[in-house]
Amino acid sequence: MTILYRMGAAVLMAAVLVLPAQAATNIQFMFPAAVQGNLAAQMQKIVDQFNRHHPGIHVDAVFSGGYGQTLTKSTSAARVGKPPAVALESANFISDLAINGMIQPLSPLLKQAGHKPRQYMQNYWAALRPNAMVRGTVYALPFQNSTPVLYYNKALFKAAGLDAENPPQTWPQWVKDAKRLTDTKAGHWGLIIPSSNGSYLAWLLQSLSMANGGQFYNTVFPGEVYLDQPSVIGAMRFWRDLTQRYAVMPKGVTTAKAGTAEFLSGKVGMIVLSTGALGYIRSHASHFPLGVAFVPGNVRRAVPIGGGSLVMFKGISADAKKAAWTFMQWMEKPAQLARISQRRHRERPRLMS
Amino acid sequence: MMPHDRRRLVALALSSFVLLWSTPFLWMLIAAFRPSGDNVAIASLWPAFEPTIKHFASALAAGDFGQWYLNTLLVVSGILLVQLVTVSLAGYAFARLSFRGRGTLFALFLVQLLLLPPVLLVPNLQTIVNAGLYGSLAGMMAPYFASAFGVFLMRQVFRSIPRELEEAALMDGASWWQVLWHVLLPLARPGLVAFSIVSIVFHWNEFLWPLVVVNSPQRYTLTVGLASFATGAEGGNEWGMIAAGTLLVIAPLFIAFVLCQRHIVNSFMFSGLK
Repeated sequence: MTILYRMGAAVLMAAVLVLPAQAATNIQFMFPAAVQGNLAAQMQKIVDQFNRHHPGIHVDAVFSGGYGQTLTKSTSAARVGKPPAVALESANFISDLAINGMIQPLSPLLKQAGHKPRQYMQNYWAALRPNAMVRGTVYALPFQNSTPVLYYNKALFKAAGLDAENPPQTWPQWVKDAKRLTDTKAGHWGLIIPSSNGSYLAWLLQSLSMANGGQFYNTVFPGEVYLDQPSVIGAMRFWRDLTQRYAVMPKGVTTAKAGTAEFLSGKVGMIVLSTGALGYIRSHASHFPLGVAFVPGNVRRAVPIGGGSLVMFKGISADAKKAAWTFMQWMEKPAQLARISQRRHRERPRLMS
Repeated sequence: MMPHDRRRLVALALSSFVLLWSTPFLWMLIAAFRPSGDNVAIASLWPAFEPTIKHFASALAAGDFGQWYLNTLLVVSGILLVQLVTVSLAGYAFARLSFRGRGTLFALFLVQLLLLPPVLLVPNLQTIVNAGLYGSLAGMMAPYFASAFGVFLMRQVFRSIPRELEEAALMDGASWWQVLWHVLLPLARPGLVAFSIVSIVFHWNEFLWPLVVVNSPQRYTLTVGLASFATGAEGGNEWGMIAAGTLLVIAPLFIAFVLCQRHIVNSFMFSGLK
């Protein structure tokens, strides 16, 4: 097979279109799909603006699918010697990428620019700092970060005799409210926690484990995972009980998209989704009053960081590295962050003083 | 029960299966024409009575569909043309020529069917980069120029053709390639058609490999193009536009199927595929 397609490839070499040569330093920026809307076009606009203001640099904005596909595309490219200079990767993959030696530590670049890395990170919200750092070294710049949050339907709360201004704070209250909201005859579910692999499953199990007093992995020694620890097992059991024991949540896998559609159709009392979905939910939940609350806690109240951060890949030229750093710094300016967080209703990751 | 009644019952059961199976398609058709803002009905099969073509307009405005149709057509037909040559020749070799290690080589060929495509993502990409095809449509096509499944299918098809026909041609002085071209391939046409359909549908719908190989929007295929403006990462989806965009993506295949239905079904019956 190899010989066959090498031969075919050689024949087709002639047909390859070659990109026009450019004098500026060309770098590639891979970015994943948006929460909603035509991000490819929005991102192109932002990148075009950068290119206009930086004649020596040309950034190619490359759409790369969902967060998982972005990881596949960028790391595959890196393994064959074509790494993107900059990528917007899921915040959940930063440690992986750093441990596997795929991305550059940014601390040396910060030092070169005259910053003390730890001090520089004080520009960002405290909760985002550990996620961007691996073993004390900065590896990512927070960009469009999010956390899980509880969305609820105030109309259904009132109909079930619950206080719509007082959403559940603890797991026992959560179960109690979800039971009241569940109405099998009307086809109403009390709660949905999206459980599709590759999008929400691991993130929300991590969220429940943290609320249960645990951690998904050792944050000081990343790579050590706690999946078999009581706090995580307890979280999994709680999740299972919601469908099996209390029967307040549909059985089987519920994707985030299906869950969102059901919530918006007014048939679900509560749903756990990213803060990144806020804009979409708010603009589509026009026919019932929407409530947004913290995810209930058990041993403590805690949620993991999600969304995406900017990273720089290894294996790029010194010129590309310089250009990539200029681009990352520019993307991290409050003006650009504000554009993204307004469009996508994200947290602005940076403290503005 | 009378035979007549039984037949009616079978027809009824089959029709309900057909209805069940076509639900996703029906939903897509209805969602594509449903005005937005009508969120209560997002999952409903009940059509809106004031249909709109707004979703089609915004899908066509958001993406360069003309270019993406062209790219998809080029990739799908390019792969198929090369495949038809390679699978016919290799299938013929495994079916008719006797050489040392034929069984082992064929078994090795079949082992490829056991590999999940994502496993080959990085090795294939490496080959494409080495060949200088990274980022091009040719690079998207190259790994599929040989097909283990196609070789297997054509070998079976050739073996089912009586040897006497070939022998008669050989007696008349035909060379091996004349036998292949004038005798075997015309008889193997249903097999080739069946393989072509499988190949076209697979490559038309493929997403991950095209996404990984190309970077420029000018080289997107329909699937990557649709994802670039219509998917949502964390829950939100513009269902109307996705439904309209998906209809645009599948339209050529769907129309082709409706036009050639009888031919397609016959080919599958012949080759024992489903």
